[in-house]
Amino acid sequence: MLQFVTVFNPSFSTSEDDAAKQLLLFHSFQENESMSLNNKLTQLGMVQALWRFSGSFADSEGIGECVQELDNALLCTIIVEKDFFITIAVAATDRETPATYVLASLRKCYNFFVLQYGSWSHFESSKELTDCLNEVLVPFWTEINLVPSHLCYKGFLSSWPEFYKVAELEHGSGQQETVQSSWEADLKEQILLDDTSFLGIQDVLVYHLPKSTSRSGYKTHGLVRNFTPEFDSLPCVSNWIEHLDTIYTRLSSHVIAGNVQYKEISEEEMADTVPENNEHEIESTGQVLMNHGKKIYHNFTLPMSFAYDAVQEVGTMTGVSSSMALLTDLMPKLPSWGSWTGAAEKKPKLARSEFLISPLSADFLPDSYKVKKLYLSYGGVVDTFNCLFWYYNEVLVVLIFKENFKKIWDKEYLHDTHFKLVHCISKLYASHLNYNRQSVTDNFCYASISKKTKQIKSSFPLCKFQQKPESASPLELVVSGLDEFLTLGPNRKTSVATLNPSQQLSDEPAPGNATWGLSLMGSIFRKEQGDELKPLVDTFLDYMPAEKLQQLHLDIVRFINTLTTSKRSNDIKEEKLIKLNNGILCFLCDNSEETIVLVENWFNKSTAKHKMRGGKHTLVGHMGPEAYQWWKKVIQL
Amino acid sequence: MVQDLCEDYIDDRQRPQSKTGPHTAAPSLLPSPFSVGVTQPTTSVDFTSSFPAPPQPFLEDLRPSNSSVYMDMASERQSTITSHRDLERELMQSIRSLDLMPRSHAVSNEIPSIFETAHGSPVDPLPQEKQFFILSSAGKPIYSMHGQDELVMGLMGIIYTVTNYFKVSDNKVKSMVNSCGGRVQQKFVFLDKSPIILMAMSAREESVNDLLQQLDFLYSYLISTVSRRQLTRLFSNRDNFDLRHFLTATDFHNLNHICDSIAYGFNPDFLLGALRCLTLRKSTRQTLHNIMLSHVQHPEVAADRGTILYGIIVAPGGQLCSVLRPRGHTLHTTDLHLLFSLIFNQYQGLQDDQELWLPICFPKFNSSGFLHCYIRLLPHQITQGKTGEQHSNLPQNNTDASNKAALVLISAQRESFFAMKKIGQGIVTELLNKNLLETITAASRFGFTMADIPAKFVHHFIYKSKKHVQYVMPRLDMLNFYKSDFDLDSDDDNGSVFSISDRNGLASSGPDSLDPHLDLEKSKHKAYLYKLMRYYTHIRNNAVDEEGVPFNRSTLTFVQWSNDQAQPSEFPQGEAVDMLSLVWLTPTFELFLICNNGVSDRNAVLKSAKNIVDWCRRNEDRLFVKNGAIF
Repeated sequence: MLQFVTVFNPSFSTSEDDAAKQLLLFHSFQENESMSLNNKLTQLGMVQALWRFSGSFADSEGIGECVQELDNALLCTIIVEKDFFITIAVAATDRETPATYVLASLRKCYNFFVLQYGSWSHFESSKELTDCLNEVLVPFWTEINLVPSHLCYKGFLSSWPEFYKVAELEHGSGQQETVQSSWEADLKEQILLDDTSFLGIQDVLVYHLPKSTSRSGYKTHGLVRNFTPEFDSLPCVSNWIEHLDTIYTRLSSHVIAGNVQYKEISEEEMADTVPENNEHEIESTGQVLMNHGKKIYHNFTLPMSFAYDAVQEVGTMTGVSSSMALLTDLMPKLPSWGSWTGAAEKKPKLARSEFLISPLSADFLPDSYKVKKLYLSYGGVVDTFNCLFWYYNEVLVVLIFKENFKKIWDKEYLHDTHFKLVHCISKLYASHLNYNRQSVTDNFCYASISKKTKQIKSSFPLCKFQQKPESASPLELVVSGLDEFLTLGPNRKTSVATLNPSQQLSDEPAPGNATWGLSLMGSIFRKEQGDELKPLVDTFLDYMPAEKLQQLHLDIVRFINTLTTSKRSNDIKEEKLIKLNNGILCFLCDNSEETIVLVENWFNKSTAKHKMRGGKHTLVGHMGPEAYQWWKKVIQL
Repeated sequence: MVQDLCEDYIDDRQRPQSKTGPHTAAPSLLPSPFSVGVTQPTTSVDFTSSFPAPPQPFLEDLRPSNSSVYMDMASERQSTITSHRDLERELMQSIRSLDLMPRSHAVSNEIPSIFETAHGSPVDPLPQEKQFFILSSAGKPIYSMHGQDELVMGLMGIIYTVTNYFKVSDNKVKSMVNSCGGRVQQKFVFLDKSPIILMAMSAREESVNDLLQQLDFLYSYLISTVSRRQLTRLFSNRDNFDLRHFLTATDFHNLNHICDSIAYGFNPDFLLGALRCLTLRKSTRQTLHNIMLSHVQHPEVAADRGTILYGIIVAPGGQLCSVLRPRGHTLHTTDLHLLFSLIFNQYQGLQDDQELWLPICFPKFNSSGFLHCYIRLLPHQITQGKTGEQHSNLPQNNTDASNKAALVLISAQRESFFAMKKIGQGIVTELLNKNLLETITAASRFGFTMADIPAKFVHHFIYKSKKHVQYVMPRLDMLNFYKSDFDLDSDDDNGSVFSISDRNGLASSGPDSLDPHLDLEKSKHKAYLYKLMRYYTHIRNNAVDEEGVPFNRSTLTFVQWSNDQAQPSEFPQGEAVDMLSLVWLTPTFELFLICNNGVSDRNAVLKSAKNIVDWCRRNEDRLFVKNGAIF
């Protein structure tokens, strides 16, 4: 589906002779196709030529995106940091994917890079930058190439790649009044303003990332709260977390540490994966898995050395010389699936909570498991911060520490923080996330995009990753480096990425006691409990089959395009009501402050019948009463 | 409250209206078939038809503005009760008299301007809003809409390089869209018709598909003069052949004209890909058909049968009156657009007794051969006597010939001129005898107005019948409060492809114009039409996507613009904006509708829209050429 991705900066080349200097990355997704340097340069020369060409008609200053449609490909380019060009070529066979999605992914990809490695112009040598790009950009797009639906999971919200989703939690639960202080106040008091960390902690971000098993719908998904104002990188961080959570279905230590990627499972393995739920077969297939190494798609992109290091570390730790056998021995013994489910059924639901990324993780793990360094900008000043990740059921907490704050290496402090967080977040659960109340399913969906705060509030369900049954080969998550070695063992089947090695957790929450300090977010066996706890449904669209939902998102993208191409002058706001004969009734409003999208099904009799009185003179008044009520509430705010 | 139109009744009223007609208040300006017998619009959009024209334009304007900000007052209930009408009018008048709107504002019967204006300074070498390039595949410039040669040359060089590069890998550049923070800034569309490459650039709202259509029209024009076969031959000998030497000054003039009218004119034809049709009574149209048919099938010319392919009578502004065609064959809309563009742009200087015998290549009919067209302009026949009275307020000095209808007979045989001449002469004579030319002239001048249709709140609309690939719209008045003594001729086809215009057409304040006031009016009218066109382009985008594919089989979209309270207004003294428009696409018709400023009642507008559709369907026989004369 993808043809190539390239990064170049024309200002790096000063004369014809050193044209190659401008090329920072060129990766072709076509197998066994090698391009000469010259060809690559011409390819990007064309992108540039058209770009310069357009500049002679208007001021190209500020133009950040450029889509060139060819007969057989779509070239999407974004320009970042003034003169860096990132271009991706998408084969035209995939006309279903609008350029909006591709541009959004490009923007995300760049943002995530900058988040983790800093801005491109700060790299001292272009060689260094190239190495880094190879490590980040290539796997990012390789995964998209493998799973094209990753491009569109955000649906029409892709039109705003620099905006972030906030969670809307239902307030005003009856219990709240009895709670003496809110969870926010507690969190502020106990963690942010605590004597020990007061100087070192910069911010705490709280995310709610529910899984569809407990609650379908997107309304309560996203950032719940952050505490420091003027956090410029907030959209970026939030999108990054959302991206990881969606792409890898759930967050784990490996995911955040950046050690996970999708790879194709070879055909022999496919045969094995069919009876996957039958754990007895796994042992017998162990040998086949030895072949793993060959089939890893892009092993050059991630530091292989890490795995060897791990082996070394284990060796010294145990005082035995390093050997494969030992490594697999050290791997926590996986109890059979049967005993797991049994245990889960009997036990009352226990909140799971632990650090995902913290210095509590095993010593031999690389630094990225201990602390995540992120380049964050507060009030326009970019700095590196040490970030720790902690979760409590479906709430993720990111603790942002100043780099010079050494206390995070103190285990006592971490344990302490853990208990404080448990206290606060459980309070949050009690006050805002108790699902026992009857929740109504909306028969409309809304999205409001605030241009000021860059916040997105939306109840549109995402187009979740759907593996097509006919797709060539199933995919598996692998933890680079680690998995290849672990699979050598006879009784390993499941990837580290998908399973939690510290299985005791759900029984006795004892952070840090786990062998490796690795964890996986969310409760693993919610499925079994689903019988008693019916998942809540936010909106009528949550019932929609994924394919239809995707089509709906595409339709809305086309509606949104009417806004982006609109040339109305700044002091005019535009509203529209679009009714298609397939049942879609969509209201759009775009003004200087926000964009609002409302969708409902006009076939739905209950919405069609009771028209609101008084709303006649606005277009939105012709949506259903529920949608109109929502609108009125929003307008009043 | 749909009034049924009774054809007989109207035909009875074919006599010129007496001043003692049922509605004395309305000046009987409109001999349109709809103006008679239809009750006046309850809330008039066109005040000329409901109020006597002010005796002294510009001196005493009781109703300074035609913008119906107050239309809301007339509720639906009121409007149905006829007896309330007078009351309403009084009310309206009293409101008007209190109207304290600034005087400069008074001249607009207008819809507010809601679009960004180009901010390119006049010194800019290349205007930023719109540009067309035509070059040969070898990179030789052929035509550019703006810009100095030297500058354009370099840019064409880039196009050449890029297209050639992609050609190597069997690829083509189709389009390029630049955007900034999610807002589209520019669009470039390329059309590779080797050995010719065309490019359009737009910073407006046109979709890629719209631009492609425009390019196709430019290309079709070239083909119509050169023909595809000749073009290929010219370039096959020498790759770097300079087509500029081959094209005549007229060709460049025509290209300029087409580009200008696409860029600044009012051309729903391209946007909709349809022909405008002249509104005629069913009986009149049938007579036209019969006349054409009878002359073609006349025993005297029977020997020559088969020489004639098509016959067309077309009224000014490219409005189709009648078509003669062989069974099972039609002409492509683009071909007809080209033909009309030639007639009304290039050949309007013809005298009444002059005839043209012209080879034209119809690119969609057969791009490699020529057909031969017999073109004859139909004289204005304002017969003195019974109709003289009626047209007394029409200009007498009809030196401006832009308004002549034309008869076109198309043949495949080069030597059949005399046969065509014979048929043509016969048709013209009969048309004259039956006074049909007068009817055509009148119809093309007056058409119908919003007042003819029981549709409240509507400023203007375009209705396209998909089956006929034709559209109709109410007459576009030229701020007609004040212009009763001005030339009505320039009404509709201003800025249309099908009219004469000089290069500086937009602000035509040439030294040769005698009346500066008229010029002002004209340029205002042009600005108004341009604005209207932008509205239509915009609202069409709300039902049809970038590729020209409708959102759905049928789509109904309302678009509303209003002042953004949060944003300081750019024009502090401008009137409040509250515009509602509608686009309605179904498998059978397309309706684009713009309401008066201040109307925000969606239901009422939808009702009006339904009424319009109803009305158009009911009057299909008058509004559209259905089958034409088939032989």
